[in-house]
Amino acid sequence: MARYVMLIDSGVCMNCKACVVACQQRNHVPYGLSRNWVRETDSASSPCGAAFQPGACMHCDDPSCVRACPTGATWKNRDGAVEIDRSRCIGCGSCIDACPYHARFRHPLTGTADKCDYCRGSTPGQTPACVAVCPTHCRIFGDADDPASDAAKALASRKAVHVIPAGSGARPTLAYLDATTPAELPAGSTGSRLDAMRPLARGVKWTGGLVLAALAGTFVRQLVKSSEKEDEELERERRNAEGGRDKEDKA
Amino acid sequence: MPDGYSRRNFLKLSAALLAGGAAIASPGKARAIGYVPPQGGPVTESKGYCPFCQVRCTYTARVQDGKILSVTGDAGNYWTGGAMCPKGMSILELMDSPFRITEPMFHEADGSWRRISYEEAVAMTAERLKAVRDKYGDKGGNRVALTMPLWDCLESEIAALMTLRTVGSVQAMPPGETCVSTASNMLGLMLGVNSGSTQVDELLKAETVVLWGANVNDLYPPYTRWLKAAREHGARILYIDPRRTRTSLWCDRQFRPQPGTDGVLALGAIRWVLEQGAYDEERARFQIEDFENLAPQTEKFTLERVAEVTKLSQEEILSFYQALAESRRTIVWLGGSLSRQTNGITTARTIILLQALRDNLIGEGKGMLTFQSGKPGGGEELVDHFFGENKTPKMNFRRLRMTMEKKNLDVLFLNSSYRRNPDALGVRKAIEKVPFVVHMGFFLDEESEVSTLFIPAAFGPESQGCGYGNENQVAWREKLVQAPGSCVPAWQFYRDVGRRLDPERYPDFKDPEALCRMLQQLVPSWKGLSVERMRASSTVTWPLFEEGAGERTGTVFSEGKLLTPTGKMTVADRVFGGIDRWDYPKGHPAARDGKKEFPLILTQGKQLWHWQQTLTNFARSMAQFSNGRFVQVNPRTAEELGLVQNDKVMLETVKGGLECWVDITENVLPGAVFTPANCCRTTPLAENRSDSICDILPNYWDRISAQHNCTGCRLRKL
Amino acid sequence: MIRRHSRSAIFMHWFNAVCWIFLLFSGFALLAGDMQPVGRWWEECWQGLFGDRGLLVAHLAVGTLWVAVYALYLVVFGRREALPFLREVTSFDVKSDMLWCAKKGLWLVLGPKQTRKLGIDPALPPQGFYNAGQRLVAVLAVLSSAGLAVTGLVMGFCSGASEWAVSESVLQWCIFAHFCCAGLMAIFLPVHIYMAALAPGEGPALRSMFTGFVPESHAEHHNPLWYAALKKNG
Repeated sequence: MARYVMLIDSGVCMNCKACVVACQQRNHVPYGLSRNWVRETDSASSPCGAAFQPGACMHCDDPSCVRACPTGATWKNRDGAVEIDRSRCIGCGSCIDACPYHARFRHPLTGTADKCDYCRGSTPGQTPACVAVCPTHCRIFGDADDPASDAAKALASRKAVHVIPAGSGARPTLAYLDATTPAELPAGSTGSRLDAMRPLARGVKWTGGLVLAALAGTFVRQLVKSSEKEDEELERERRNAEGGRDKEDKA
Repeated sequence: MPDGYSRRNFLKLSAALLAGGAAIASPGKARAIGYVPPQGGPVTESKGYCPFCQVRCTYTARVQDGKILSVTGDAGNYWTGGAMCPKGMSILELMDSPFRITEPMFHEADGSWRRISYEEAVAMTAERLKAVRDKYGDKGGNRVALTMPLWDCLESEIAALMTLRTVGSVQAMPPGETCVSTASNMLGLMLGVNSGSTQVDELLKAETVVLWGANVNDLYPPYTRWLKAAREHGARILYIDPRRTRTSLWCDRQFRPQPGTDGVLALGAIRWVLEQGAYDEERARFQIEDFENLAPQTEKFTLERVAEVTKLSQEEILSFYQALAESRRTIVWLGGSLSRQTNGITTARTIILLQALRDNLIGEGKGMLTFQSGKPGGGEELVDHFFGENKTPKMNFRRLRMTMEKKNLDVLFLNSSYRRNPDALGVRKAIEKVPFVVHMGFFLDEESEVSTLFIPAAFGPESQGCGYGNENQVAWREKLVQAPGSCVPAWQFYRDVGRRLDPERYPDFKDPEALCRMLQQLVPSWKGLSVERMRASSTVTWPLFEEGAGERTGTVFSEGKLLTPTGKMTVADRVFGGIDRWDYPKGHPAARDGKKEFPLILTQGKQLWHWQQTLTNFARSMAQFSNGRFVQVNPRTAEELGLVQNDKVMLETVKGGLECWVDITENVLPGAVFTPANCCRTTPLAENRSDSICDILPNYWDRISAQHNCTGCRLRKL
Repeated sequence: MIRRHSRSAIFMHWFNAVCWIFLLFSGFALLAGDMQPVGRWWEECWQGLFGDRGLLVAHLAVGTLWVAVYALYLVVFGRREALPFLREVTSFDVKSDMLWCAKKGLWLVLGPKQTRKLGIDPALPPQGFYNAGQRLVAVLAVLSSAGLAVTGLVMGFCSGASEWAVSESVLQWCIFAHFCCAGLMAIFLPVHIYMAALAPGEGPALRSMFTGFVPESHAEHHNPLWYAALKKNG
């Protein structure tokens, strides 16, 4: 089974933004919005005063965006990618709220959630645009389980570092090589307004179940002995009793 | 996923079978819920190249329904390895830009535009040229001029040169007039080759690479890979730049002299190398005719003097000199900014002499690089073939400007931006005195404001043809898409005008391919550059005298000596004098003509995602990274001036002022000011909008070209 | 026999029934993960039948049809049927209605004999055209229907790339409200089906949902107030 990952050697990034524009064009993302980014952090130790950290959807394991999606339009594929099916997305934005990396946005043309898909939608099977265009080869993409891939080689020889928003508990698969600045991101929410739907769904499930069970029980009980019959019996008893009284009266 | 069915898939499949294959097929496009964008026709892939900088990245374009969907760098291109930069990719947006003008227009006297047909435009232009020819005959040549570059291809340049020749003109301003003129002239004078003497892949063979003001990463992002590769091959990269830039990330050591003082650093280096005896006298004398002049001319540039002028510490200077003295193979890359100071002639000459002294010009891993090296010759040979030789001396821009001011120019073909010249407002006034200005362009910009006739040009992918790059490499491109409206490639416009004027001599070619084939037939250096060969590979290096011959790469001194007539260079030049006459750039606060009301040093330069002052200013894809007109100042300077981040200020020089916002950063030295060169006034995108920086730069003349960097300025808080 | 339901009301009832069951089932199948109240298998079966996208389209199509037909019904029969119906189902007598619900429950679960043994008189308070249970469910159904229709239309037509697309937070509230309404009905709908179709003594009522008529005795027994009113008005 393939396990696709993106690895980034942020130490060689010079923030030229070629990856950003290449991605926007390949995937028809309007300028101003973006599936990927280069984060700039002031850094006294950097020769040019800033440290650069390219990023994109982290294709997390157990992703909070997937948990937040009410319609199953986004899911974690078994090959490592977090996918979006536009045809099922209604653009409610829960996944956008739930991504602690802010990797998602609502595409104004499709009205649906949008994010990095390793360029599978636009050019299936090809190297992602950001990887192909980078002058310093700071982005590496490939199958981590294929020892011949660049990704596996990089993982074998260098340390993989994950950058996690404080308190998010995210489990990104996108890794930085050796070290990166910043090492941690500011706290990011992994929840959305629709989180309340989960307990509600449980409530519906249990209440509905109980009601069905109760109805089934009643149904059986009525099969065994119908309340209507009892009513009739009672009626007969009452009439008999009345009839007796009448006779007594006549007598 | 290929590894069989998960439970999920199994359930889905069985339920679908249950439904008897009645699964609802994807219905047509719904515009609301679950909208999936339409798929469109088949996608084809074609080769192309970027029109902007001299790296000349080649790419693969995905074309669908007559539109380019995206471009991906061509991994087969030896020079770029598949890299591209954002400004190159902006071409996609520019081609479809809502701001693009796609019909020819005539500028009425009252300032309004009248739409005319392409045929009318051609007729009008031909008529004007004919009037010049009829009135002045053979003497009319200097009454018609053209500014380059032309946007789409080499064939367009040749077509334009031929059109000028129909009226006997040779006055085509080279594009580098104000950019790299100094460096290329000095290289021509001293090495016999007016470009770099070697190629960028030679960096791998060098022990030391000196990026002398050469901000490679910002200017040529795809070339970053060569710096990376050089380091991986053990080269040490020394970067000399007062400003910290993206290139700072890639060097082993940066030295930050005061802006405009690089010449002193080089002069001191020569003195120090001589003093230490760190040179081979025989080899030095082989290359330097008046070797004995070196010592006396550099004598006064002691370590103390160099430290005083550059404000580098003596330790820093020494470590730089030692690195130079120890390196057996050094390549120096001359930055463009050195060519934009009036002392640039001395600086460039001194650096070249330093290379000769250390025997770092002839041989592998040695030489000089610049930012505008490659320009295959042969075009003029072809023009001469059809029109005969024309020995009229070529004007430089200074003379052209004077000609215009004296109302001695009748027709100007304005292709490049006039705002690249300092005192741009003065240049504009001069252009306004030309009665007929033809501007081939894309947008309603400053150039169209001063033009009589606007011809909508075609972008590269809308025409076939070949383009050339920094390494003398030539790339071929097919026409990828149809140009909108009446947009025409430059070759077509110039051909149509030329053929109308002079059908006898002006060759009839139907497309760039036909012209390119003439080039191969008639010009020896192009013989091996067949269209077929160019089609088959990403790039082919000019010159190629034989079909099927191998490309010549590496140093131009393949015969072991310099290419000047004598095979040598001189310290004391007949025209430019000795190098001991070094002085601050004109207008510099410390120069003799410096003014104490303008105590800060103004430097300006490109931003990574912008191509000069023109096209990219009209691209949203670039505007998304821009933030208007800013000035960068050092925290110390800011404190002295009482400025805080984002303050609004007026950046003022003797010529005028520009409104800017303040960005406080250690990336510029105390006392210096940096502002980006790209912004223009006419762009509809606020992020890129500002008056041109050249509007406020005084025009200084250094015998070769107009210069403008390092003039004095001040910041006035608003 | 007495006419209890007009032909249009009968049609609307069954139209409603079919739509609701489909919408409820398919709607639950659209929900994923922890928000799915039935189970993963449910989602997968339905998506297998219709396809991922097809299910959404089908849900939206049936929902739109349902809203459209209802809208038409309200326009044509609003005065004559819908308003009187609303008046009828919203006339509550809290004490008597609560008593009815409790006693009806006991009657079904324990039976009248056991109830009597507990010392409670199993006799139900007399009911009008609709009994208390029917009125309660009717009110909930009307409110839920309105909620489902409005939020459903917003999600279907004011989302995505639509010109009238609303903000993400409005959509989220819509999903939430839509789900609340559907959940509520998912609980009450089985009760209604049992009480109206399966519970003993409801045969004539069920038949009337096809024919429109109930026997006089049935009305007299189940809806004595209505029967009395009918008698009074002749």
